[in-house]
Amino acid sequence: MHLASYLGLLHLAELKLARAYLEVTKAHGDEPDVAVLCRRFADQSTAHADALAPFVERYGEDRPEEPERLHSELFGGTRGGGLGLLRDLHDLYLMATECEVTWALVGQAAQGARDADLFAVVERCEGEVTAQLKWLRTRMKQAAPQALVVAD
Amino acid sequence: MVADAGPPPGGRPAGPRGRRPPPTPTAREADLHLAVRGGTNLALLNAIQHELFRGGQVDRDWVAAHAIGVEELEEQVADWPPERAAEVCGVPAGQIREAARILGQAGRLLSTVLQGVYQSNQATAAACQVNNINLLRGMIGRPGCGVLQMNGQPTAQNTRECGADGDLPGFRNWHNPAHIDELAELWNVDRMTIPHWAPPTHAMQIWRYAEQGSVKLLWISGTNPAVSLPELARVRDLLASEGLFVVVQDAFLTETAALADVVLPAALWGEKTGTFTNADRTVHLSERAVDPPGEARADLDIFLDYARRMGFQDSDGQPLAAWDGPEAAFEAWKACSKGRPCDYSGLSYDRLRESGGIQWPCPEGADQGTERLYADGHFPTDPEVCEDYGHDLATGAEQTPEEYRAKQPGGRAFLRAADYQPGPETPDDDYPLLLTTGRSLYQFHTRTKTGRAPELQGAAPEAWLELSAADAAELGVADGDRVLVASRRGRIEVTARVTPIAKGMVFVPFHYADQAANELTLTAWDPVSKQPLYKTAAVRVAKEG
Repeated sequence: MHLASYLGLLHLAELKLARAYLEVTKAHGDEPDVAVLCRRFADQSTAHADALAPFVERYGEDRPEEPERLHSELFGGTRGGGLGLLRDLHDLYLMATECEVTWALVGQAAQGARDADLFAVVERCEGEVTAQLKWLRTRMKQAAPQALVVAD
Repeated sequence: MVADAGPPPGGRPAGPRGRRPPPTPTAREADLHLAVRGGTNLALLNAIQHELFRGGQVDRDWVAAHAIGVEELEEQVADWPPERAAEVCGVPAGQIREAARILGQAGRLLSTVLQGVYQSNQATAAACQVNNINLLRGMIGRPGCGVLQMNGQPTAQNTRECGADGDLPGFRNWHNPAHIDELAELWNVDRMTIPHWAPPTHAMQIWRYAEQGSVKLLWISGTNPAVSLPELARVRDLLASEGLFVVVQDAFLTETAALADVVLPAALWGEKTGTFTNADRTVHLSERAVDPPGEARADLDIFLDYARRMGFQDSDGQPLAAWDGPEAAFEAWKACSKGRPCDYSGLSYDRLRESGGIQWPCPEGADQGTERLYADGHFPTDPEVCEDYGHDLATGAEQTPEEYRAKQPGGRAFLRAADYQPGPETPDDDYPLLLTTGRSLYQFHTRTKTGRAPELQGAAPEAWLELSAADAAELGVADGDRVLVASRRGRIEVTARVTPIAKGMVFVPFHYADQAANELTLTAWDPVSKQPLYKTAAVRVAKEG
């Protein structure tokens, strides 16, 4: 059973996403909409990781070697300016996408394992990550023409 | 929802049933005044809906036929019993129940919404809950039943319709290619000329782009952001910055005009001809009574002159815009609005002159306007008609056209559910009071006109701070003392008035340039409407000297 690997992967991905949201909150305080929502999303992502913790423990006993190569490094720190904001949101989008697809796969495994508790957590968290993605996409689409065409 | 603050002339009458007098004239007339803590409208409204569901006062048959989303809404508000909301919004649970009882038993229900909702935390979400209440009760589209989501000025109603308020003309949907094609055909331009690939850049974002240098020219017409926008120190710096060329078009040399590179003197309403539309959709013709003074010209003439000098042209090399005066522009607008919810095509200057005012929609051939919308319980939510495909109320994320279509609204109204979220700034140890800004009955906006009317200026000559007796006692402040009000953005000095305002909250009117409440407010806006939040800033108050 390899569910433990995916739970570990997802746990780490949510924690990394939470940290990245916090960094963006701090770096882009002059964009109040970005700062307010990224702060809220950071809390959500931390809560997602916390919600996973008992299941990481439950399935962790027969956890194989963590496949480190599954972890992708998408975020190397924030950037300034209009283009920097767009690049940072783009990074967040890719990181949140990784979380979202992993939640979907963990959801499949939770059903296969008949784990109703885990599936309930998946349903709640996956919905929140989807909402994060929708906002990131909306905000990037709004920022792109100005950042890519007009700004110096 | 605060229509006016400040003491009534001739002293304060006692409130109903011997309670302490409410702080505003509107509240004094109320049978029930809910003194909601700033930024918590949504919690209150969710609890009221909770009670409507619990008490069986939802018109289930009407809702099933004419609205969608009731299951999600019922689930959301189930989490908001009055006791929970009371803790958040500071209104006793008994009063919330009483409000729900009044709303739930009313034979008729007319709801009005203004800046107390639109400029507070979770603005759009809360405004939608007011719509919900009328929909849940099936009270819309018949005498005495409706919702007025109003504007601060009649001209603001026009801007909603004609595309100057973050939408496209005639309530067209920038996300709907067919609507863009209609505009391109009307104006005889290539569709790519019309920016429709993203929502129109909202005002607060334009200021941010100016700050970052990617907007280099700002043309400000008939408003006074140097007093009316939040966080004025930032706005003044921006207006004065070297890299930004500022054009101000106004009838008066406002605080903003004083910072402009070019000032274009504009005519006032009595000095030019055009139409106004009120919140009840009544279109009025307002004809020039006197000539504008000096070099002043009508706004339309200024914009058209600019377009001609810039050489704007349509696809056939003809001047864009094609019209040359107010009546020709009205004829073009009739064509633009034709077939849309705000159909003006049956109106004309002559008809408006004869009638004194006609309510849209008034399609071509109709003998009269439309007194009532939604009388048949049909709403303009069809995907081909709708103005917008909707947003996530919590984040402002857009729904895609596919997501919208999947809901199959088919002329039914949307009931929208939202959970309460605290505002972007809440009181803490350093700034322990919550500031709400608002209006005096005697002043309008930034006093550009009312400050020049001696009677009005005399009635409310300067700004003040309202605070509760409990907070005043704690701070050692007495009625009439000069106090310093400070936030993380700035500070002002005003006279204190001890009023029945809720403990923990303070109020300052926003009209006054030299004691501007907006020195204190923060740069933040609603995620959906993008309207700045003027009702939730944390401040501290200290007695002067």
